[in-house]
Amino acid sequence: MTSTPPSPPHRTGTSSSSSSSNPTQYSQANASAQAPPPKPPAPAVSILPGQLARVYSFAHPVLLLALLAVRFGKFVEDPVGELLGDLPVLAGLQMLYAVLCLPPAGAPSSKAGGGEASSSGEGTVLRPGRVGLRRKHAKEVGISVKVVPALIALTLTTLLATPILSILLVLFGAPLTTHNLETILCAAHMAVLSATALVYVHGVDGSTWREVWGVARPADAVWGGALGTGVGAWFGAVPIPLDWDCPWQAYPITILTGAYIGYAVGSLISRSSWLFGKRIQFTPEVEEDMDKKAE
Amino acid sequence: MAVLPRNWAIWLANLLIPVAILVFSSGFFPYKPLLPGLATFEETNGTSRPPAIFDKVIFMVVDALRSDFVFSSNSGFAFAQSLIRSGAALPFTAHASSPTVTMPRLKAITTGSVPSFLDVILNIAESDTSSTLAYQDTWLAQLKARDDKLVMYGDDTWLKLFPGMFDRADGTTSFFVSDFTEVDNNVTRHIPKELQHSDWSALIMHYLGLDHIGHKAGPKSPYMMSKQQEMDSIVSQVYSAIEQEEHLQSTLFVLCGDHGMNDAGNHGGSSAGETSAALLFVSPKFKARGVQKESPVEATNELQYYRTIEQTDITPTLAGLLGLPIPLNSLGVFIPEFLVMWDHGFERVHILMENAKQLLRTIKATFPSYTFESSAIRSTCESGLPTDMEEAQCAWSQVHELLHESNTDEIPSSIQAALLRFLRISQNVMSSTAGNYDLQRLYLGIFAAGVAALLSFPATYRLLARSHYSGSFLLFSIFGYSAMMFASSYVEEEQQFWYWIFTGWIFYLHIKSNGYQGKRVTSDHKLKGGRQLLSLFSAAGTIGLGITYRILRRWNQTGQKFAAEPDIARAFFSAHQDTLWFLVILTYANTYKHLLISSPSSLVWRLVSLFATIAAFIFKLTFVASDSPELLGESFLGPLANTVSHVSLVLQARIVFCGVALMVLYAMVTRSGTLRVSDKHKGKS
Repeated sequence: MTSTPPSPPHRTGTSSSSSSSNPTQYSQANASAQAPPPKPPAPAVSILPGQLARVYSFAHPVLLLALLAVRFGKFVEDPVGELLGDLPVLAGLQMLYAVLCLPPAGAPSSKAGGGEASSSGEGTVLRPGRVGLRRKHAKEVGISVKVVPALIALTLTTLLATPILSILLVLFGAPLTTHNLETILCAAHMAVLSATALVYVHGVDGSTWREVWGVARPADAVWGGALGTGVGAWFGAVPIPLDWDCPWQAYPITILTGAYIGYAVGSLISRSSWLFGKRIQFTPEVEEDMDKKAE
Repeated sequence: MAVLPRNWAIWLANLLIPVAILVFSSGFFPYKPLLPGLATFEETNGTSRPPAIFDKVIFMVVDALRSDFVFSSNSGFAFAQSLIRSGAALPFTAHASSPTVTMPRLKAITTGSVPSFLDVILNIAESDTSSTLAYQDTWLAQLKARDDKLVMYGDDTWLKLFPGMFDRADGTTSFFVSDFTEVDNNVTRHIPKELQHSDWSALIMHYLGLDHIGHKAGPKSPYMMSKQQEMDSIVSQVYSAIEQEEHLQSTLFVLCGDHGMNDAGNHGGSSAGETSAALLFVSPKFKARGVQKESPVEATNELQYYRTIEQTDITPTLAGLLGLPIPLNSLGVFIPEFLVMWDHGFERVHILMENAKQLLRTIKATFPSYTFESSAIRSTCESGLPTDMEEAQCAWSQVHELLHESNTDEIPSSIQAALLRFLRISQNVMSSTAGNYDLQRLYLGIFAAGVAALLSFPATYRLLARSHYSGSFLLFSIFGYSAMMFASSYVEEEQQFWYWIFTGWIFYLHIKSNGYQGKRVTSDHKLKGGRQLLSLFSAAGTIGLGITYRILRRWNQTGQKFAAEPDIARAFFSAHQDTLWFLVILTYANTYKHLLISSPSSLVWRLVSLFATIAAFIFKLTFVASDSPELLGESFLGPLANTVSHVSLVLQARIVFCGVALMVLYAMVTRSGTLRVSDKHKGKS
């Protein structure tokens, strides 16, 4: 869904009076026809080469779904206790996945074109990743050095992504006056699912995270999983109002189940060859409008 | 020129849609043939009719009396429960089929028929004379035909349904829902006097207060218990009169709800709360028959206490107990618990037989193609799985067989069982014909609608294709919305779908407007600053939209499932009255501001609009003071409301309308004046 180049300049020029009511979009459309960006965000992330990484990257989403399926009964019985108990397990699995299968932030292997993007200003936190790369041949050191960014990623996730997701959950309809613990735990699970790998891979690179917030990242396993988590949680709200009177229709259960399923589906399909690297681009509609007006 | 055929298709589609709706609804609202006239007793050959058990009936309807209000352990009906324990009262849960609003329910109770959905429309158009039951067969009409007197106190729906039927009546209106006491006192004040009279044979009371409490504050309202106790005291008053008064000694007392209520206190739908009404037959005569039941009891299923019967069963039961012919269009089944009131087996069979013959007549009128001659149907009974109709035929032939086998002197109880089986099957068959749709018309209507949709498809596609993601989102919403129609709970909870889809839309708007999407390819530095600011504004706008949406979502709980949960309007504002009134004042001030803007220079206009706004606000204040005093009591406007409450609401409303009329008049005069002036100017130039 890469954006097509907008209408030729002379044509937009003639219809500029009609589009002046919408200056933002117009300028955006105009700007998008210009030269390549000066500081590009990170491109799509590939799974590390190697037998173990490949196998585990497929096994990981399945493993998470299996965990959900096994614990589902307990989850319905006591959502808060189960969510709290499973959080460390989930965090451990996500860290394992990141360390085994993903390139840490700042690693040139993860960046095809612009590896220096995150190293300029924000890379200080993630310097260990770079150190590790220098000694790539020493495997035991490499792994321990990869664990540190994973831990940092987890910390950032807990501190930043959980509150943000909690607020988002409430804005999307989660109860505000009750079920606060459920909301926070649900947000924590969603954060660990979606954000840990993102932070591990991209660090705190501003332009990349702007792309994340703008849902404009190229598809890869990490971004697909994160987007799938959100979309799955959104779809998870559908069964709540049904009058089936099932105990699992209670508030956080369907949302989080949707998030888990969405994560697994998203991370698996978005690394397939026909989706990898493609972007969701909400093209500005102004081009089409202008075409119509020009006719 | 390529535009012409597309427009033509759109025109045709727009024409087809009303046609499709008309064809579909003509199939969806079937016309059910009603047997005209009044039922009479068949010529009995030799055997005498079983005697009537009661000669009078006191029929007490408590609007929205849900089953648990009377039967559960958390009930105010202590005396009624003691009657159940002593065996003087026979309790049932009466299933009120949808639509659970008063008028169709009264129809079901009095005629014994199942009202169709058309009656809902008629319930709203209550003044419409076509909805009266004056010319239909009811147990009231049967009493009237016997030259008995009927009296009625309570809901004036009865007076509209039965014009001229009652000899003495005092109707109360359910217009003022906030009235919990007056509306019931207007019924109760007549009771002692009427219990002394001996001229009537049916006394009907219809109490509305409990329904008002439900609508206003829900079934868990603090008013509910005292209202139940008040109703219970009336039960006690009537019962002691029946025990003591000579002329009332053979009186049947029926206490029933016309429908129930859901957890929000509303009704009309088909949830368990709305369809489960309480039903109690009370008489000291029942004591001797040994039918003591425990009370209070636990509900077996959701709100189902004791045995659940159909509300239509009340009609044949009353007819049997009062010795009346069963109304012609009744689909009810005599409640077998009352068969013990007759000592002899043949009398019991006679009662059921009358019921069966009457039901058979309605079946024959509805399904003329089916035969119930015993010789013709015996063969169908033996072969395979029968349809509902064949099952009814089979049950009827079994009744015949048993009747032929037995002597006329002693009648085995197996006949009773066979008769009851036939009655229940026929009731099911006939009740489902109320929803007997004309399928061909339904298909035709759907087909026409489908053609209309197909015709409009090319044009719609072109429009949608032009606006990529918004168009796809619209398509997604439409498909989601139509998929929703297959889940009955999503039909009841439609707002949930829109809440849900709206969050997605806000998110899309946010993504689209925050500018990060286009940033990747930005290089124009001159535009960048302004664009960033704008995108920041629009991002803040979507976040603001999200927050206000979230507040609005919680403003009023609607639907069924979560209707009883706290919301801002009921839970927050009743505790923060000053905030509420601050917002109200803000709204009126804003209206005034807009009025001023429209014509700022004129002093007269300012004064008139100020007057109208203040009058409207004071009317609002007084209305709240009389309708929902709980929202005003402790607020800073309480004293003001007290002082203006001496002026009647009607007068205040007139003042407001006068103000508005003045404003309209003033605007018309001044506008036409300025127009004339400008015309003159034009003419000069």
